[in-house]
Amino acid sequence: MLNARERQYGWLLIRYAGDAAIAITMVLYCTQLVFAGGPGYVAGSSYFNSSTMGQPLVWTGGQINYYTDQGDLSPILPNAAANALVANSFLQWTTVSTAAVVANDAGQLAEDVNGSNLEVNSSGIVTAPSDITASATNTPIGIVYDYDGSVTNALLGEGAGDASQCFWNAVYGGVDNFGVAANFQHALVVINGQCALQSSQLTDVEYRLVRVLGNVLGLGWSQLNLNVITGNPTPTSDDFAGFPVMHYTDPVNCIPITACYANPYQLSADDIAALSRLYPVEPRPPSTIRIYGSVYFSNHLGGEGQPMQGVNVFARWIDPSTNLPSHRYAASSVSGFLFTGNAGNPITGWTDPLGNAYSEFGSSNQTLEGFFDLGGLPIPNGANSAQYQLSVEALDPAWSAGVSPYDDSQVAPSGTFAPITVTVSAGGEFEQDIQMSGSRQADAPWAATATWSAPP
Amino acid sequence: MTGSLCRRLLAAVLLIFVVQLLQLLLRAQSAPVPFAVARRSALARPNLDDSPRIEFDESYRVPVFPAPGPFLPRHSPLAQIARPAGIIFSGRVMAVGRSDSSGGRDPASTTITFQVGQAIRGVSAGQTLTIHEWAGLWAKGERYRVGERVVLFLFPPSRLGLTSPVAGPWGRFEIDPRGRVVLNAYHAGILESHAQAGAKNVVPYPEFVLALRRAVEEE
Repeated sequence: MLNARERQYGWLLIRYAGDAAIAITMVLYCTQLVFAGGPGYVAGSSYFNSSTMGQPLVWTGGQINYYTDQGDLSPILPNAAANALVANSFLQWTTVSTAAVVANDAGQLAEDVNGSNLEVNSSGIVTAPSDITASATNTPIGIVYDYDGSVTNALLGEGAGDASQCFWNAVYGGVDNFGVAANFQHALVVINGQCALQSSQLTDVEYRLVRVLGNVLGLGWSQLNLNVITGNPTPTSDDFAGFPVMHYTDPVNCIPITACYANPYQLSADDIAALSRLYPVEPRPPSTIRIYGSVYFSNHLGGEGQPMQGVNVFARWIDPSTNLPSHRYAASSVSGFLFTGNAGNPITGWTDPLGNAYSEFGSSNQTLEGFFDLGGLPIPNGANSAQYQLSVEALDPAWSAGVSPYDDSQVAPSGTFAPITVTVSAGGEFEQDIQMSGSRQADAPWAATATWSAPP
Repeated sequence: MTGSLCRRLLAAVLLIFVVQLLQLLLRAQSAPVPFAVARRSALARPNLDDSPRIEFDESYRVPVFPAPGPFLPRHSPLAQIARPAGIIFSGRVMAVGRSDSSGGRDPASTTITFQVGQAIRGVSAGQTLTIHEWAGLWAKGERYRVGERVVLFLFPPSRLGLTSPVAGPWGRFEIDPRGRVVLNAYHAGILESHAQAGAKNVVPYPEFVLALRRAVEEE
């Protein structure tokens, strides 16, 4: 029914320099990454323990220990200042009161990682310090300070670490080792010092670091208030405030980033809600509510048909003072975000171009195919209940291309849905399914003995 | 009679002068203008008169761009991508795989093999080119399918033998089944400093190559 795409994750195979044994590493080859308006990774029906299928991947217990490079990041960011930059970037996420996640500065890596640490031997094997490899679970998050851009040059090509490439390569990396219990085991983050040569650049670096750390925590990309980018309609201050830090991409001329967003790494209600769902506080804070349900096609009788995946569902707080939906206090969730985005088929095969099974990420449980979850919605005025307007929209194929489960191949929702308003008590939850009226009917099978997934 | 002739001659001269003045004014409006201004005018009304006929998707939503910041060189976008590129070509993906290392299944890099079509820099037309990309890029969306056609601007391979598209997704263009270059969100307005400026999401391949060659010459 819907377009498919590949998702796969590989990481660097690295070998400990100077050690005869291969220290390895790498990655998880992975596969179907499920970057949704919520979790970035969801356990599938293979590789992970079967009991975890459909669970978002997280750091166990919400506890994160990160290790920083021994070197300086740049002439204006000696080691201590660089560490402070990293700590402050983590704080953007760990200070969310409705999320149970803690990041500890657990110490330093064993070396100053630089271009000379990365080598390739005569067999073509890349070697690097063992404590930044994917198998280095004792240093679960390694933060590399690439002082002169040489690490970036080595990994991405000569010139990639140049200051002219900072829009793309100032900060990069991500999770590179996944545990079978649906947990993260290692991540690597590289910060390019060539992008931190002037104090005026530091906001940009921190913005990109906060976004990469969002991915490292397990968050996917999100779409909300896209008019901040498109300009249609002209964004208000509330649009900017409600615009997620975890939006997929920026216009290339947002240099410096404050040319586009005055407070670029200030979390929005959408970011906070997504993190709160990933690392929930128990019991649910009374200052939040949850709206959840599934999106469905209409069947030929006008009832709920097949679940519909890939629809951006969003809820906006109804401000009692205006009775209008707020663009500041809002959150989104993509239907089917826990479901596999590309399970493969007999024509395309069941593995991606690298041979990884599509089934590794995303549940095959069809009850999740149209499921959305808007937990963590705030009640800004501290009232005993809140009204939220529930709406749907298409994911923009350009500006939200990376939002899963259909990343790189967004689809237009079939049919329409008139926004509705629901009332939820503080600390409570509300189930609201969404039936798309006028949606396309399912195509009839080829023959009585055949289905689209099992042709004759 | 003489006075009448003089008045007619004067009127004719004035008419010619006014026409020339109007032409000058119109020319001034289409003369090169600063980058940001050119972008906005191009977005508002694509200049199709001086260029080959192109397909223009009216439904394409044009993003709002701020003026270039102090860290962005004021060259044409294509020139910005072309400058650091060591390899520029169009081609078809022939194979995707992992690098063969240590006998394990985990790759040091993703290996992509292309049949080079048009060679712009660093390769030869018809060449079979194999590149190695840091495997971590696969997760960032730098993925390939066998059979797909692309235009790539690649950094020169590092001493580790690894490369990647210049400016990430900015340095990679898909070619659709009709042979047109597809411009994604990053590419909007990428041809604007050329005569073929305009907000369009597909460009005929010859037009793109022409713009690219101009950009390379601009360096």
